[in-house]
Amino acid sequence: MTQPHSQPATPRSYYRSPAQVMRLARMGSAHPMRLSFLRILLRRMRQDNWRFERHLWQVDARGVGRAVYCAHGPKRSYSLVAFAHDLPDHMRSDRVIATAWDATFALFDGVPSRQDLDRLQQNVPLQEAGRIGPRELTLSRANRSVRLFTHVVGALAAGRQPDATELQEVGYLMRTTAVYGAGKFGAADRADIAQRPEMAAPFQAEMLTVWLIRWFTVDIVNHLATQQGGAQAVALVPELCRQLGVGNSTGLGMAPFLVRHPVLLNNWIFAREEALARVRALPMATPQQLVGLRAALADAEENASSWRSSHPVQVEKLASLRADLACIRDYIQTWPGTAPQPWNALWHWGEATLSLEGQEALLALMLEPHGDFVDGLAECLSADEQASFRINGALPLGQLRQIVAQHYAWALRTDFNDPAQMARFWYVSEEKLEPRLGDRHAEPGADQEQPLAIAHLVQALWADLQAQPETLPLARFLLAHPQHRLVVRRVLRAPSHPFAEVQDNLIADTMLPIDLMRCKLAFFGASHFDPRSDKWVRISLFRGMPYPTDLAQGAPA
Amino acid sequence: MSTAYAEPLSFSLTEADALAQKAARGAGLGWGMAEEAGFAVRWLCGYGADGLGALLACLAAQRSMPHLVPGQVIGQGQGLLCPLHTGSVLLDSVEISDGPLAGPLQLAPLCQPLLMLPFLAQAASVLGQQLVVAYKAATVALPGPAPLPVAPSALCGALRLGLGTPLGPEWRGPTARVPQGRAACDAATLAALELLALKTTVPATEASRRSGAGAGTNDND
Repeated sequence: MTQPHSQPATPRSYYRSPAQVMRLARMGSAHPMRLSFLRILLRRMRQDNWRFERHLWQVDARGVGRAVYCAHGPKRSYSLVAFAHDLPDHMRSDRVIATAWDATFALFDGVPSRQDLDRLQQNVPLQEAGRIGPRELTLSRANRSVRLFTHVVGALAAGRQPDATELQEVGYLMRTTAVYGAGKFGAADRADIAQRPEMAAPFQAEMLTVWLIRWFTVDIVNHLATQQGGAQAVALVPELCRQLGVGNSTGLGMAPFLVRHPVLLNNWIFAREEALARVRALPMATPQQLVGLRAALADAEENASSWRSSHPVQVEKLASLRADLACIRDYIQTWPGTAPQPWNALWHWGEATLSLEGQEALLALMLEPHGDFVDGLAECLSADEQASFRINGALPLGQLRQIVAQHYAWALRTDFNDPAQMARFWYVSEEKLEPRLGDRHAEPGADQEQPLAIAHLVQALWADLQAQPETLPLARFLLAHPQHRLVVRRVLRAPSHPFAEVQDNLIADTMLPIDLMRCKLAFFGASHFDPRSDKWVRISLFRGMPYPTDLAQGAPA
Repeated sequence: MSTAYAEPLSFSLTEADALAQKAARGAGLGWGMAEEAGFAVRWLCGYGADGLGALLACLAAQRSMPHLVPGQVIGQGQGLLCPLHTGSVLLDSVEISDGPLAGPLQLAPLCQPLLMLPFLAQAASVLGQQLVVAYKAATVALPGPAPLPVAPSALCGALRLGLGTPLGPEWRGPTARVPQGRAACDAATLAALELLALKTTVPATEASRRSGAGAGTNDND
């Protein structure tokens, strides 16, 4: 593995600037790539020869019961504990506010005893209304894709394979509606596991959970088919299994995450941009890399052809993406030619030719054949947020003003006297305790606005800084103006974290929350981004990727 | 929050931190100071102290804002000194060469003084030198393996703060070591903090129910 610090410094001209990268429109065009978290998980599990087993299967004829799937690594084991339920159709909802699901899950640290399973059975099916403890790393639930699930069980029970087109149309048997980790509902704290190599990269416990859920979804359809069809039933064949991922349905709850975790956001984007710069700086394209690029492009085209959405914005973006991928295919027929730094030439061509959707897809393609230069950056993705929490109040206000002027010019430019720029406000709903987006000019509740309108907060700070002496220490200013404390903490991080801020107004009437969600989900490794509205999306995870059992047999990750 | 676990209730430090932030905000602190409340509660709970209980008692009391004069922190307004504002301004000032921690410091009596200790532990880490809190007849030195006084009530009354011995390398650094552990509190404390936290939320209306999370179409397919 390539260590980040052993790389020679890449010249600055190969890097994109935060002003270019940190715009919502571009973040909302992000694609999964080599540094996506589920790819990191699969690489590690393959490299370290993890072993997998279905440890327990106690599911009755109606499909109700419990199951345990274990992943055994070099030092530790993790187990997905699954509870299968018989859910009446009218109770099935993907909304986070649902109270019953087709299946509920927890990822257990180790291999659970019978007592552990009994304890979890009391709590996991209740989800938010139950409690888990320090031995649990995640809590999750999933609902069936009713149409596909019924079709697949019916076909298998009748002794035939389901229709491949139907399978591709939906892409998953079940979709999760939440995967909670990092200390939520009593689970182990992130800090408890962050030192473990297999959990060091972000969201590895969550990704492992979803990957093992995918295994469960195939087992449960095979089980129900056998119950229905008896001796005549057949199992879903591996080629069709492979086409199935796990769906995920997510609403506004996910959108504020990137704003609330600026250091983490910085590290994710920084690692990806570093990867791109390293590839752009390469002096040549080897035949092997060319083969890798072509293969990645073929996969991307296949992915784009099976990507469905009915959201007008995404429909347009998909059309651009398909056209852009065809354009890339044409271009690389005669590429690299004899140009020096051919990857940089390819990138410049892409920036001049392709839509944002196509440019970000090209980025993912260019990283693909360069694992040796890119994969080591996985170690740079996590963040110790506490390390930059303390405010150095010795800083003279003159210097604070300089930082604001240099790093927040984008925020100071916004005209908040324009009602359209103040149109929304983020809040937490009392009823559901979930983030929501309100209309400031029409709905009550703006007095409980969440501090996510960073540009607006920066302007308020800027205004109060004007009358202050240059040499006054920040500590004195904050003692008199404690209301600026949150934004001051962010501003102080800016010089060392250039990609920490989304450089757009997050309360403008034109702001699309799905852009924030797309960026985060692409880092997870999600494909088939399908907005169901401006605030609610469905995606697919692990589609086309190996199953735990394939990995043990040497399938590429 | 809990249906299946008996008292004392057990929480992850992340939960305790998040609840503390929301409750502090609900009680009227600014968002940034609410983050400090989360930090302080996490630190105290990590050391096994009743950080959530201390925060609740603090938020329920009338508190005065710290006012810095040479060699002293005095209260401005009614009530005992706010430990969160006091701890924050002392930690904020730690790198100011002639700041409040440069020499011995007298502090007016604090409300829930335990909540100030996390800030002092971190300030000492930055200084590379222990900070010694002297109260009545005893002292607490921060940071250290046992930074909490035997009885939390011991810190009541006026305090004197001074520099102690230089810290070993394991304690030095820009951030004080926060221990890992679990947070605990009783059901009444939890309910009271959740009530405060609820003040940061907005009641639903018919319009917000329809459009709030954006799900308008059938999601059961």
